Amino acid sequence: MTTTTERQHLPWPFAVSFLIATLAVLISSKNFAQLLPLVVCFGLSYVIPLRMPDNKVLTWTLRALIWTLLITFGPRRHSSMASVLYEPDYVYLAGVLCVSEFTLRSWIEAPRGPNRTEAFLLTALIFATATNTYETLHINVLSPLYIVSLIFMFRAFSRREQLPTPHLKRLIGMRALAALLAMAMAATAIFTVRKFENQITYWAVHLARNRHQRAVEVGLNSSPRLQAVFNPAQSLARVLLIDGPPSERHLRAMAFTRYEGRRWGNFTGERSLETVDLSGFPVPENSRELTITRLTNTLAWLPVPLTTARVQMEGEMHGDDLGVLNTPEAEAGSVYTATVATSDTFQGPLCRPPAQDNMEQLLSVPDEIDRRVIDLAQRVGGSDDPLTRVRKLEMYLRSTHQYSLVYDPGKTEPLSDFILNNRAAHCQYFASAMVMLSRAAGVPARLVTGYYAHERYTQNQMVVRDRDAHAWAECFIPKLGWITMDATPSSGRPDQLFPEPSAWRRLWERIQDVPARVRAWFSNLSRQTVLTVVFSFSALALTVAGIRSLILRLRGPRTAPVRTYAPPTVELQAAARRFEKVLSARAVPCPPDRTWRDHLREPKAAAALDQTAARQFIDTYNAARFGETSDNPGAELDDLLKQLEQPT
Amino acid sequence: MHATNIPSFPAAVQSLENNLASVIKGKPEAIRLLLVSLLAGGHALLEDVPGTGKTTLAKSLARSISGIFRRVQFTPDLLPADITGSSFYKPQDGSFEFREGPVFANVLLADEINRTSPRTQSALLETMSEGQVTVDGKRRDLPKPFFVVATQNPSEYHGTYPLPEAQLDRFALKIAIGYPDHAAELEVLETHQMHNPYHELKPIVSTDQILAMQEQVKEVKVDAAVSDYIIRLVASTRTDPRLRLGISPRGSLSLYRTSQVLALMNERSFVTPDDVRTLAPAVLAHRIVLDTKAKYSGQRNEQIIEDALKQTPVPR
Repeated sequence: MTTTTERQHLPWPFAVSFLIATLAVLISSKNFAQLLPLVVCFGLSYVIPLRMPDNKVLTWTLRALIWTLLITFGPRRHSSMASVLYEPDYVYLAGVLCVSEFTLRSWIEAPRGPNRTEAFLLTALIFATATNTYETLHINVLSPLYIVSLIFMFRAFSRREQLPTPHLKRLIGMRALAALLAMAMAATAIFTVRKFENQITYWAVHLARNRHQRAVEVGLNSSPRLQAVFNPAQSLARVLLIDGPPSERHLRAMAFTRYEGRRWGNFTGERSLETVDLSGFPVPENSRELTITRLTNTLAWLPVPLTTARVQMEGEMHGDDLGVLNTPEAEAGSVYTATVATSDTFQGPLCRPPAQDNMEQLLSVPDEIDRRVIDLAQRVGGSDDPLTRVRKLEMYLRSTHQYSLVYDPGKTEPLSDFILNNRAAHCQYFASAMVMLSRAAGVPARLVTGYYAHERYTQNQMVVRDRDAHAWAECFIPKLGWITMDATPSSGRPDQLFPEPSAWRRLWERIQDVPARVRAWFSNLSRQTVLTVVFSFSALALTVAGIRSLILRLRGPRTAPVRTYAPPTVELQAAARRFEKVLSARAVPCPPDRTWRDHLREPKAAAALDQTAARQFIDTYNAARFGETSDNPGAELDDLLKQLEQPT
Repeated sequence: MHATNIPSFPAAVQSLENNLASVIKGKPEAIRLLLVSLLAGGHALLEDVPGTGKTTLAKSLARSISGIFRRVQFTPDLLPADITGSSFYKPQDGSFEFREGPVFANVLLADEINRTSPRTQSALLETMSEGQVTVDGKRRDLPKPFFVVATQNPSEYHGTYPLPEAQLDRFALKIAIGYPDHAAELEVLETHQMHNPYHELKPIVSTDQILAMQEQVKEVKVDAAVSDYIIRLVASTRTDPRLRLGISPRGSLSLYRTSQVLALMNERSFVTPDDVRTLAPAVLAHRIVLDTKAKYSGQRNEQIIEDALKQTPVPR
């Protein structure tokens, strides 16, 4: 039997299983964004050959070639095969595969099947996108391949003898138009990419990299330096998700007491973290419970408000006498709860009064600071009450200094320069200045870095992003304890400084949350519930399938059952096979719904076959097959076949 | 199998074809199909616009087989008795005498059959399938062979009664004659200048010979695979969603018989799938009934049969 050239339909089990597999992969994976295009491309590259069944060998050869080349010469080597499935490079590779596939198919099929101009345009677009991966290597490798596929296309185009001239002219016109359009689209795409390169690069880096890492690198450095720009990335990446809005918005992650050489820090060996248990502290009357989810896997610190009374989490928790908490098991998705007092002056376990040994450190103004700062502090904060003194200093900084994201420290000592001369800088300077002035006024103070929580996420949730990193001061007032003093003007706080994230951004984040939510929902289900649901669904599906098959059976078969005809003798079968081989070798199409005599009427057969011999063969064969000949036609058929098999 | 008879069959058919071709120019296909339906023992329905030679073809055939030719022009007021004949009172001896109607003929031309009432149309039914007439409770046999050639006009719909499916099914073949091409029409004009070639037509075979040829056809071998092919072809029309009515077993029998005739005409003692495929549109297309949706979406009966041929694999 010959192969059919009719377009095949996509079998529904294939589609359903593909959808289920995709969903399963998406739910089980954490890398949703990167995986989606791969899945789509991968699916396409399998659907396409099914849609266009011709020339499988060429397609698969090309596909294998591209895979091999890119894996071998790709920019990064991968330790595991699994990483091939979600690396962005390979996502683009899948796109390129689709390109070659579409291109080849659209051109090979055209003389006989439909002219897939739209497929060709699509391929060009995908290719233009696929090669914009900011890797010159990709372009260098892919462009020749694309040209090769184009050559293949035009080779297939040479089957023109079948077509009458007007049709051919129209076809050539259409193709030329399609090629021009494709080139125009590719040029537009490339021009657009060049023009918006910075934005695209920003987004590409944003999507491709593990964006949470920088939160710690920049925002919360373990020994922050007074720099020209604070947290230059200002990334929108989410760091924390807080259930229950905190009354105190300053979430402290780290505290520093020592300033030296433009740098705050507890240098090597100075910070002594010990295992602490904060679950036993008595809970104050007015308190709220916050459930905080960490969305990064690199943030080891546990940001909580200063007025926290209790912190509970699974696993070990470390802390020091500055009220800094961290955990060795830093994993994205882990959750801790903090019980926070609503009162500003509540003194919890993080507000341990300084020991006498530390008092000196908390009051020291380093020598590098200009002495005029001390004079200023004493002049501005002139009062007997320490609280009044720091309030005055805070008011002074807020009213006389301005916020600026950028600060040029020059060669002088930056902190003194900011306080005395420059008077415009970012929150790190305000916090440092507050600490120095407070100390100069005789009030113990420390610098704290952390996040300023302000953005509402859902009704009862707040989100903290990387760009919300903030710095402020904490002062120790006798009889009152530690209090937060944020000298940064309100225009410089993260809630005023940055615009709201766009609606698209919010939507995208909601979509990103879906797999995690589904996972959480599944993990909350009991095994019994799952089994019940699975079994009841299976039972339902089986019942429906059973009823359906019963109805179909009762209704009778809709289509005649496919059987083969009573076969001829083995000898005749062999002769028939040989004859069909001759036909297919001469490129005479042999659809199963037509007889050999019909095939002979094909224009190709008229030119390529010995007509007399072919007719004689068909007559002899038919007489033996359908007639009542007693003599054996084997020898005659063999002679005729030999005659036909000779090249004309 | 009378092997000696086979050469005479194609020769007789050939001379019949030549004879008819001298009157009907440029239509060898229509002539051949008409002979196929005659030799298969069936009846033919000629459907075409007026003036394409339907009547001439039927008359010429009757003369060529030296049979009795009668013609009935179907009109709306025609009664069944006008076709079958009726008994007349004879006052001489007080008895009734049966006067045969036009149906007592070897070739009956039922002209514009769709112009008469269903009642009269159905009077033809018995005669067509049984070869007999029952008048006043008495059965009378018709001469043999009995061959009905009915014509109908597709373009004139005023005052027509479309043939019921049951009656359409009784015609072995529906033949469209069509306009002659330029050369053939020129020839028609030339030959008709002085006289009508019909009047010069001579009988070629006798009616007895035709009967013998009809018997001979029955001996043509049909292989199980070819029968299977016929059944599949017919069965595929029964499951076609575009059809309200598929092909009946009478249709498959017709296809079987006519294929045998065509095989014998081509000097073969066996039927090949080529014979079946050649005849399928003419034999099957008028038997199917399209459903309303397909009808108004412009589907044609012939196209449905073409699709059935495309869907059914051919035995090799």
